Amino acid sequence: MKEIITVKNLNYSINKIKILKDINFSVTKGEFISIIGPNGAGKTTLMKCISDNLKYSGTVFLKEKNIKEFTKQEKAKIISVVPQEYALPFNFRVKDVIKMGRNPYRKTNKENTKEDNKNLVYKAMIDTDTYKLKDRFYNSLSGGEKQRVITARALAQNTDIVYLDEVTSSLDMHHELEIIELIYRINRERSKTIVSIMHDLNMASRFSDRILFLNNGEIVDYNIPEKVFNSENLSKAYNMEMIIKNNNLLNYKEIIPIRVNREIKKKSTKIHIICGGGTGEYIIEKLYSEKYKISCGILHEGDSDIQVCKSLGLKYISAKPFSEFSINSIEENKKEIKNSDIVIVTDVPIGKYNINNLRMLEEFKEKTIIILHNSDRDFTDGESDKIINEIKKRDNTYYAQNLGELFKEINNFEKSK
Amino acid sequence: MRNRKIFILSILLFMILIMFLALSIGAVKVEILDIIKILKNKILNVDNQNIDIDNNIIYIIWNIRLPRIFASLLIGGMLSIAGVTYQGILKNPMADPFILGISSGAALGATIGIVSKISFSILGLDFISIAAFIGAVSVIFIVYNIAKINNDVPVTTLLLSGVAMSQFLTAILSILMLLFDRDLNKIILWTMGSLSGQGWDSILNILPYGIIGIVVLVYFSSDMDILLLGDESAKNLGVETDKVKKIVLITASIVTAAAVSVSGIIGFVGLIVPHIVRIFVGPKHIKLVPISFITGGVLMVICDTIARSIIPQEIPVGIITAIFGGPFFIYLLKKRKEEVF
Repeated sequence: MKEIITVKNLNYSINKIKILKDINFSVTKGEFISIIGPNGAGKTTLMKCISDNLKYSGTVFLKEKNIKEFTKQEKAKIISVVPQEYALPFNFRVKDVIKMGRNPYRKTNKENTKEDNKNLVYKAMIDTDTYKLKDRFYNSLSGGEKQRVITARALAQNTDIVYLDEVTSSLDMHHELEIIELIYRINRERSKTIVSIMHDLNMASRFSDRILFLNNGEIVDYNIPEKVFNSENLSKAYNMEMIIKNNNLLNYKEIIPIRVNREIKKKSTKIHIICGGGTGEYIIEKLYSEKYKISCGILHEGDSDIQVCKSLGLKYISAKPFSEFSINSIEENKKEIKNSDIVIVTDVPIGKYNINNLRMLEEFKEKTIIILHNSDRDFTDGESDKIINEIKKRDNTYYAQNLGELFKEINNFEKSK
Repeated sequence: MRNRKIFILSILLFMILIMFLALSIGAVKVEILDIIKILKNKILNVDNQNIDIDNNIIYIIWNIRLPRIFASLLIGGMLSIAGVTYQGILKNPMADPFILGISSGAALGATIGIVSKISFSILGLDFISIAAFIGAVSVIFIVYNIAKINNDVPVTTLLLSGVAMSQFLTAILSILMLLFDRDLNKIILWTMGSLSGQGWDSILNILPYGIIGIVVLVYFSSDMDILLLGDESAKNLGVETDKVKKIVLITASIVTAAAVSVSGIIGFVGLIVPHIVRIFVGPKHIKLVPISFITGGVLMVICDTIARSIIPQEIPVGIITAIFGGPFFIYLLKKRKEEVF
């Protein structure tokens, strides 16, 4: 495995403000690298440094040779750059713009260059679906079409390395995927090395070999997507809540952005949630965002509510699937209930394996309990309904039809304290 | 493609036609047939005795009108290719020698030449022309260096320093005009531009600059195309942007300086001609440069012929170019806005 790009101790600052701090990384030939990070993380600056268009300190090696030893023309035969689409001051035809990609080869006097030029320009047009646009004026094209023309220009350069700078931001869903699939194809089939700034994290996760995660001018992580995408790092950098879960259909880690972090005071009320089978997901997430202390239990392993607890980093008590709860888990769960101010019972279906979740409530006569509406949760031939009805008779048991009522009951509880 | 060939061919035919018309029109009317005879004899070096044309007319055609027409062609062409270059490199459709202060530099130089009353000549150029040339070239260097930020010359600072410099020089020029009011007429005439009294020698003096200009600009034509994509993209496509910009801008400026040093300031040609030509041949410099040269030349011959023949007194050609150029430019702007820019 040969390193095609090696960056050593790269620093860059403007007016003594450090934009990039001690960047070290390398890219192996044929890799697909995505650079991710929030706005202002230094992604574009990094890309300009590693294409030697800015004055940085440190060293960038290209094919094991200092990049500064290459002339612009030699460099343009190794690296091509696809910028975000932009307007031109004068009106060139699309084919003229794409032909400019052959400029680095213009002054070399090889016999087949002319033929190469024609073929590569034609191929680039076909690959990017711009052949039909070739006689149009560049400035009359839509944003997405311009982006494809600029991409074609870089492909015509036929370089070993292709840099892309957020090329999909002006594209619709179809053309976004089309361009990324095209890049992925030339990466896999023609073993071109790709370094791409991605603003769509899910695309980065799905297509890259490795992800370089940049924040505040520093590398937070540089690893395979499964490792880089953990909610702690990403939430901190983007200052928002997100859930990361496996997309089993396409087999990659998918990010679901939830909301931007707001200034909410941490609440002292502790809530235990009896849930399962996905009935807790929504409530857990809502209560979490309002910063309550939350625990869940008892859940069978493999339950989707456990997945939510895991990704939000919440305490939960679990038990082996398809069996009754063990003494240990019951004891542990009782401890959580004891420490809680409120217990919420979701509309989880109750069967013989989880009936103990209700049974243990009989001991806690003084606890405030909120039962969520469900007319049909009993799969235990009446036992569950019997317990529920018994609990409902208590003074400190409340009943909520929806999320609004749930929060009203919680607020009432907090006020009465 | 066919469109372009027709355009080139017709502009060449038109050029020859216009040259003959320009030779015939003037205070003394000369028949086209006589002109052909005179030219044939002169070129074949045949003695004039055996044609029945007045010697004065032969003198007017060969020694006054023909050099003046060639001077017009050359100067119009040179101003046009300079305009092409400025518009391209500065990525600004409004750029021309005026905006960059080069014309003001030349005007100030010439004015100093006029009021100083120094009279000597080098290689056929009188002191006024030399002073204009020095003025123009020094302004380029000053403006370029003011605009330079860390070895980079951003377009905005270049245009701004050009405009500022131009205003400053014009102010000094006005002061000189007030102080030396007995030279006022001469200064005003010079700043309006005129091609009267140009002989074969002044053509020979500026011809090398015209030729060098075309050769250099055509050589760098693809680089100039790519520079239109923006500096960043041009660098990534293997263009040594700073080097190319420097060479091309200096070439265009020297070409301008040479032209104005002979003719005085003639406006609008450098601005309009590139736009007209761009409509027909597109923005690629390999075609734009030579065709702008020819078109600019033809336009200048027409304007100069009008300038010297429309009323008994000669009008400075700069006024004619402005009278035709201004409205024509507005017309172009309105009609083909989409395609020009």
